[in-house]
Amino acid sequence: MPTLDLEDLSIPDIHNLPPDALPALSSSLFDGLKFDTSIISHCDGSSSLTISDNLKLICSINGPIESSLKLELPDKLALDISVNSSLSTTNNSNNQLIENNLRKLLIRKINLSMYPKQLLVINFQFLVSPSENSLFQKNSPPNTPSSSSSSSYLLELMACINAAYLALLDANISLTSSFNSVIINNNSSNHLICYDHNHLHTINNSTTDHDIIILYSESLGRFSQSTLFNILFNFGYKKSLLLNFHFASLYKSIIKQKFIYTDNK
Amino acid sequence: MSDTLFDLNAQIVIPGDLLPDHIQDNDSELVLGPGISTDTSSNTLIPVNPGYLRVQQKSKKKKIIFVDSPSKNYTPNLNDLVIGVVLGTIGESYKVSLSNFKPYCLLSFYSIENASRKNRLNFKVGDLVYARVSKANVHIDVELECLNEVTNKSDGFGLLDNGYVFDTSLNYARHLFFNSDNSILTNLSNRCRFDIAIGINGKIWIKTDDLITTLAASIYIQKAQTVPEEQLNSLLFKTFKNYDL
Repeated sequence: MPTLDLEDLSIPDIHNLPPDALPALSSSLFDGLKFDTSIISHCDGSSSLTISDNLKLICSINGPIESSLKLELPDKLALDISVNSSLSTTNNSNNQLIENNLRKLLIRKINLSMYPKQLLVINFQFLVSPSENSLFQKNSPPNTPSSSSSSSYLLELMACINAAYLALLDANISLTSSFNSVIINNNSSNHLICYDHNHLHTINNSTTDHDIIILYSESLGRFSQSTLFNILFNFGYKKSLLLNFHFASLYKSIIKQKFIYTDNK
Repeated sequence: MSDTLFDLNAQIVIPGDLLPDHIQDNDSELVLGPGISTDTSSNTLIPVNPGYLRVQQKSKKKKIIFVDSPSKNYTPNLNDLVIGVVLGTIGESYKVSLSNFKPYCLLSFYSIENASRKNRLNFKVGDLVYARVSKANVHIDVELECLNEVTNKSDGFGLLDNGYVFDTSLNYARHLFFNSDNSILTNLSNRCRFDIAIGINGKIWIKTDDLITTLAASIYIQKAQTVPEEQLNSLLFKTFKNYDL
């Protein structure tokens, strides 16, 4: 599993940390996570996300553009989401499932009413994905699903959510709040949780006065209710908050570069 | 908080950030610009786009707040000055494209100076026009005018003849347009004579005495968006030297 999956979560209490320690902590935790934005010049927004050598993904966004009559919605933005595997042999039902889950999430986070009768085209292209890697493993028997296929689905969905968030920022699409997703691994289960961060004071690296809402959660394996609640409200919450700081601080440095010509008067 | 339009020390916000308390004081009326919206659940202001948070104190009781964000996709707003490409005609209007893959805008035959049914200016397909957005409602087609709304004269609007047009980022075009004392164009004016039309839709048209100078000047303006101010002079020198100027 990649660096993002923390088997042994020893994250300190974030609220008691000094503000200066947060960026350092988040960058050390997400060392294996690399991302870039504006990688495709002819798209309105694009991002790439790499998790160690296990997963590489490109997300591109075009829009808001003129919608076809078939997809047009009279009072809000229509979304056209497609997820493409790097190999055509991969199971397309997995991609369909990711597309459906992404649509459910994104319609809640994008200010759809800002762009009536228009279309937003979001494409995901996997360059390396764990489910495809497992197809070529020598020890896996042919024509049988890999043991890690279910957990790789969670990893792919997590990468798509985070890449979509970065590409939406790059495309300057109106969002109601920040969001991200994290994966928590327990001994016998994997959990994907997507959190919504609202009223977060990232300006001075302070974590006070914010609302955090669970947007989406999916778990695979055997676990008890108390384990799930502990993950949702403790481990996952802390990890998501740190990931949000990580994205915010890196994206702010990107914005500074885009305004480099501005006179400092 | 910044009082000037182009303050690099202004705060950078991302969607959902908590805005500083002093912005939302009850003493002055707040005018919300692009990138700021109200959160109906908590009845507070939130940024909805990433970028620099700009606050302008217009008067003692009026404050304008908006997010200056980098974007490639243009959405027409009322009174924006834009450069469009004529695509054809429909009814008694020209179809004008402001950006690729976006719905076309309408430029009426009669919203050009001295135009009437008997005497009208004929634009060809592919012509460039400098115009003002006169109607920008999200539910209907955007309308353009090549007239100054006060004087009803062309005042620089209309056909952009010859010259060269190129695309830049929207924030860069805004910077060049609104910041009249920017050093990018001031440096260029010391080097050559030029006519320039800056469209808020990220299109810049430039015309100089000859083609080579036009090309050099356009490349300098495009490259200047990725260099800091102190390197502008050397960039100008190198760009013109490449064209033996």
